[in-house]
Amino acid sequence: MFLPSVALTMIGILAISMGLVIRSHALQLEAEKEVVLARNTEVTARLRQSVEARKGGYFLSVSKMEELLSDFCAEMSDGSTKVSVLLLDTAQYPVGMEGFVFAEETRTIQFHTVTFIPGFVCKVSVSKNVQPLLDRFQEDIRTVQVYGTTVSMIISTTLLLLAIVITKPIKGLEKATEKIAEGDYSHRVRYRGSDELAELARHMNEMAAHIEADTAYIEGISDSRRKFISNMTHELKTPLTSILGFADVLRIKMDITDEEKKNYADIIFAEANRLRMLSSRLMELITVNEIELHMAPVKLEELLAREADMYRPICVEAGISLTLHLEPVVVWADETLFATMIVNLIDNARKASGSGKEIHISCQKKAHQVMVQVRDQGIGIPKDQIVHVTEAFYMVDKARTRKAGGAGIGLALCKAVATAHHGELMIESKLHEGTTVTVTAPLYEEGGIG
Amino acid sequence: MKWKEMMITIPVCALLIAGSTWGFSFLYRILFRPGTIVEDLSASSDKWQEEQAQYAEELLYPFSYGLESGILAQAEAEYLLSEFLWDNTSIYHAVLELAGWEEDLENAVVTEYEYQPGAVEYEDYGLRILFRVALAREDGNGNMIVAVNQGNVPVLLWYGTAYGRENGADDAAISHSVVSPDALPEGLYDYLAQIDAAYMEQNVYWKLVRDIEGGIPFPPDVELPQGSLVRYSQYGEWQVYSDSQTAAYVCVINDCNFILYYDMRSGRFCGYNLAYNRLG
Repeated sequence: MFLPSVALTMIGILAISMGLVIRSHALQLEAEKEVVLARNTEVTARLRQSVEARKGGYFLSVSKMEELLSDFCAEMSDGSTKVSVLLLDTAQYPVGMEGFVFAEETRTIQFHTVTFIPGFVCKVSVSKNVQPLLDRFQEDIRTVQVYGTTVSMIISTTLLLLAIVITKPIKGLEKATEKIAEGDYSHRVRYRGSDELAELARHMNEMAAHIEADTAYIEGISDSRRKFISNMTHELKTPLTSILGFADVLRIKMDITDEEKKNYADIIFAEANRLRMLSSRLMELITVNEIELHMAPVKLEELLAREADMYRPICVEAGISLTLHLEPVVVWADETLFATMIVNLIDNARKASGSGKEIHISCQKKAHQVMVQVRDQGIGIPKDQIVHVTEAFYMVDKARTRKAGGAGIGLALCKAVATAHHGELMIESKLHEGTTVTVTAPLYEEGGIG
Repeated sequence: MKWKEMMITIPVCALLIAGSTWGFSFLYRILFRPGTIVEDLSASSDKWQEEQAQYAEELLYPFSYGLESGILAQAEAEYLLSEFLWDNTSIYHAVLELAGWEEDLENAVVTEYEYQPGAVEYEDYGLRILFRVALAREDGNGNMIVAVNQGNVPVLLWYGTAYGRENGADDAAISHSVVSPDALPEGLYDYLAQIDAAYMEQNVYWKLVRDIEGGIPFPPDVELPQGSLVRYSQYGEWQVYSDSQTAAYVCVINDCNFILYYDMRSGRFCGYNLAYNRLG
């Protein structure tokens, strides 16, 4: 764009200067014409006076007249103006002999007029040499060229600097675009002011920030999936290894006792059972966000009481007391899925608690939501691991969890269920003091959900 | 802008500036034509043509432009005419004879008499028309117009077939040319000789002759010829103003002149003018 701008500027300067110069020079030539015309008028009048003064009357012989005219022309001519008078044949009326003429060879403006001096028809010509004027015009042209070149150079330099200044932020934007295109989403464009380019830079930074965030999110999901698959593979491989190992022992060991056989078969059965449970949980976890929920009003205190009653014998056997504080509330939920979540929470609390401990289950209405809490007095979760315990296959104490028949899927499933019900799952825990898991879900009220 | 672009842009820019500088001069030479601005042949004045035509008409028809004049009563006119005759009997007879009038002027009647009062201012000048008298014979055969000076000497005569055309009745354009001595009408010098003879004893004539003589650059060692219009006219330049019928032959000798009127149809001279010259 710079060169076309310069070219347009040149054309503009050229056109304006040309117009002004030609107009000025034409006016000066017109002024010279006026001078020549005035001189011609004066000369013609003087010619009449000269003839009459010479003779005081009429008639001069041609030779006398020519002599008179010769003297007259010499007297009237000066350095720049030449006067000539030509006697014409009076029998013929001269046509087209009057007016202005420019003589290229002599560089003179001439004005010819025909006048009648008694007895003679004279063509009076006044020529003015305009070579000095034309030389001055050439000087004007040179001056305009010098000024025009100077102004053009100043304008070009200014335009060039402007182009550099204007394109600098664009270059910054271009570099930033290149970086972002190369995958460096953390790159930002530096900008100042609030003009269009600054706005563009700001929008580009916003776009890069969004892309960076989305990329991080996608990478997070990808990491999570990878970790999930890795964990899942590991969790599947562990029982399978046991099953394969003991099955192989049974297959190749010749002197195996019946007791050993039973013992090995029990292990294989237990591991296979664990594998089935694991696959079942995995299926629940994977499909919880895909299956169609059968939402309906569910009396939460009844559901909690029912599930607590189901677990009470196991807890009693383990020396754990199970207490309830249930307010009558109705939750808008898929009853089966919600029950699964409650069972998992109670089961986790049971696994974490030892003999003599208490598990307290409560539900209450809070604002337009239902809040369910399962609190135990178990071993607790280290503070730095609380955020991870809702990840699939994450286990705070792997040995203890596996021993308890867990695979680190329970809380992940609970969180998925809570999310599917537009609720939240929050964990508060203190190491060696216990853990409280709180789940919120929409309250069902007469006329609709909260 | 990159350095590579700059390395191209700056020379191209310089070329553009140089090109526009050269182009300015080139365009100026194409667009600015002094000839186009100056040339103007539309300024034409026909005034000189009118002046020339008026001048030629005045010269060829000397009575067409009446001077400010007063018409006198018949009795006064005849009295004045008799006074002229009484004072200058010989010149009037000579003039009438030149015109072909052989009778005495007593037989003529004054038909028109004009007086130019403004001419009194110029009475110090020798030849000057002061009066114009139109005469006619009683039998009505022939007319003439005589203009006299302050000394009652007839200085302009207009008669014969030219009479009656004094107002320029011919519609033909008046032409003007310089005539070589060979092209002068036959009998011109005879007619001039008759004028010389008629005015031989008139002061006004000799004043004219002396004036002519003084203007002729005779060599110092040459004896002056005996003065007469016939002789001196050979040193002059003849110009002619003419329409289809009448011609005025003007003899210009330096600053002096006289005119002979010529009837081209009859081939005869029909008057003369010794008064047109205004001597300073």
